[in-house]
Amino acid sequence: MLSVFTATLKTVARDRGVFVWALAFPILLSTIFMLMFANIDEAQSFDPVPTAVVADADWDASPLAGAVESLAEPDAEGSDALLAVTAYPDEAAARRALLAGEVAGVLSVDAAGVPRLAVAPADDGVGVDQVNQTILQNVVSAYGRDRELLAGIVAADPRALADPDRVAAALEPPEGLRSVSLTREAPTETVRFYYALFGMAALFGGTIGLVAVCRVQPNLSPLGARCAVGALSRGRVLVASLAACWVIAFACLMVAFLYVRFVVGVGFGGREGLCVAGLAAAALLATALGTLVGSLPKVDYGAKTGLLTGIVCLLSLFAGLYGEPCMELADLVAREAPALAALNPARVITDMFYSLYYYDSLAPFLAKLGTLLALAAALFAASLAFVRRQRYASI
Amino acid sequence: MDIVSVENLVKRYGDLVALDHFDLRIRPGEVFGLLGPNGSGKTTAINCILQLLTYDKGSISLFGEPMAPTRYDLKRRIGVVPQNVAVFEELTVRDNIDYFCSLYVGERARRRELVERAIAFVGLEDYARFRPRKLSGGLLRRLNIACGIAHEPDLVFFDEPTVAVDPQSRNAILEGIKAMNASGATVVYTSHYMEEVEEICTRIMIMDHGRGVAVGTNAELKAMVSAGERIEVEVAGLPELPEPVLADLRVLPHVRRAAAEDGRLTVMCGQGTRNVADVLAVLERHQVPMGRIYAEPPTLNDVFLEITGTDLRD
Repeated sequence: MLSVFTATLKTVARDRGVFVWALAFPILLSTIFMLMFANIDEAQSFDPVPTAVVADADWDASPLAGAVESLAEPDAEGSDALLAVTAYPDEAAARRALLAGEVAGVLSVDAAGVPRLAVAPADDGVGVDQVNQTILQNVVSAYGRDRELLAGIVAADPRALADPDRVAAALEPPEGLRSVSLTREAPTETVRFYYALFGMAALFGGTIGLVAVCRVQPNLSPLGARCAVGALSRGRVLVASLAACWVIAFACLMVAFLYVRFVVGVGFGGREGLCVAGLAAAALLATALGTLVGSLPKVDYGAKTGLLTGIVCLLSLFAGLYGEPCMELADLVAREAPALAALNPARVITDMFYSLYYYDSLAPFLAKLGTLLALAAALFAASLAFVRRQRYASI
Repeated sequence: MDIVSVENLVKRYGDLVALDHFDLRIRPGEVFGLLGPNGSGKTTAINCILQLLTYDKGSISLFGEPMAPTRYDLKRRIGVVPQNVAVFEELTVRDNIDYFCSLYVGERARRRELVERAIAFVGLEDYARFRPRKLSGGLLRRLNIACGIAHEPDLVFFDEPTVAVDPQSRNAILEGIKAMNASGATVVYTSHYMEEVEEICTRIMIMDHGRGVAVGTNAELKAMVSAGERIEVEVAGLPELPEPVLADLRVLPHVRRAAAEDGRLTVMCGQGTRNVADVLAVLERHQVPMGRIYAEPPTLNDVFLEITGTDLRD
């Protein structure tokens, strides 16, 4: 059996056609995705709000100057600066910059220490300018609220100002207002496409199983007939061959995974180890799918490869690989016909990575993993019905 | 005990009867030839014996025991050299032989020894690291043979191993088969090349339409039919052979047919001991100038022609 395993490894590993689909395809497509999605990610990135300040004596005397200065620097947790501040000597110079579109707003402080914000007239749309103006308005209103709060403390209990903890507690958001992350990682629009790509790439690995089965089936090739007259049982030859196929399919997926993770830079929620387990299950399912298609009787080899390609492309459509409309279609099918989505291996593989990335709990991942293994078992069982025959009416 | 025993085997492909109550007995140490035109059922018979094909009726025994798809103990003693070259394109010559040998021999050290012996047997020492696509047609056929016999089986089926092979490789293959037989292996050899079958087979079965129409040694088969020598005489000096000469030839007791064309006289004879002498006597009597004279014994084609009414090469 070991020699059959080794020989299958060698024969499949030297088959260029197999590697086009199982290895080159995911690497090529993920590179294309990387180039396509680079613009989307850039468009979704946040740039600091360009802000003018009138740096006169009133400004310098105001606590707002310090607050704005802190917002113009990255915070201790590494988040980007909120504001990009430019100081102007007087109001007129700052307003000229505003009208010229160089800044989103002008911050100043009047003689009474009251902050003032000037923004350019808004157009009808909702764009970056409006978002920037809203941010500046929030900065000013938050400062005003805190200023009034501290004034109230001074009036009620001036000694409290000497206690930094009490001041910090007073400036905290009200009880019941808490920042909560609903997902394990920040949702991004693009990762699902990469995960769907893994679904398709894994299933294309089925080509490996298809090739191996066709080579050992007596009714499919002279080579198969020759193997079948040997003194090693058909079952042992098949098990050894399919084990080799699984190893190669898994290796191809691993290479693609490492490329997507470390070259393309796609995140997997810091759970790369579990991803490897998922890939192993996906490779098993792909081998089973290839085995089933490869063992179909009375269908020639060319038709089988065409059939497998068609099946993979169709399943990938419902995993949302081909763009936003397909992603919506996939989501629609998942909502309206969850059983169909649950039986679509491309979708299950996509969702498996998705659940690792988004959910704290491992239960969704394990459920998908179990589904993959169950589907693989079902496909192998169906294949068995075709390949168990020892003799044929014609070869 | 017969090495191969097939009784009353019937195999149908729909309405077509590929094997029609086919019987076969092969004794140990024989080189047994299955001779017949394409479509006569030779390969189907072998595939049924090897349990690759189902059959409708009949029984098959090998080495005195009933053959079945799971009789791996019997399969271990059989080698098969299929009609089509069936090797892995991605493996080297040595790896290919090792793979097919591993289907019969599990022990690695023993296998290594067998593989090297098989490579030497077919003369592929210089090509052991080559992949099949770099081999010529003749070398590929040798590899095909090495893959089938590396495990040194007791019974080897050669299914038309010399198709599309150059004369040099063909001779090497036939010599190899003789050597295998000499070392104790029983050989079943199918071909539609009667010259090869005549050359190497100790017994021959002539097949037609799925049936064995005659079986015996080369001499026995030829003795079964009335066809005798075929005599050809060059009569280049005469533009046409006079009709009285032909008439005198045709009345000879063993002459079946006599005709002259392009300065060559052809006389087909039946079994007899004085055919050549009698023909030459007639020609001398008519003072026919004679060039070269050829006298060929009957061929298996003549046997096939007489038994089936059609030519073997049709």
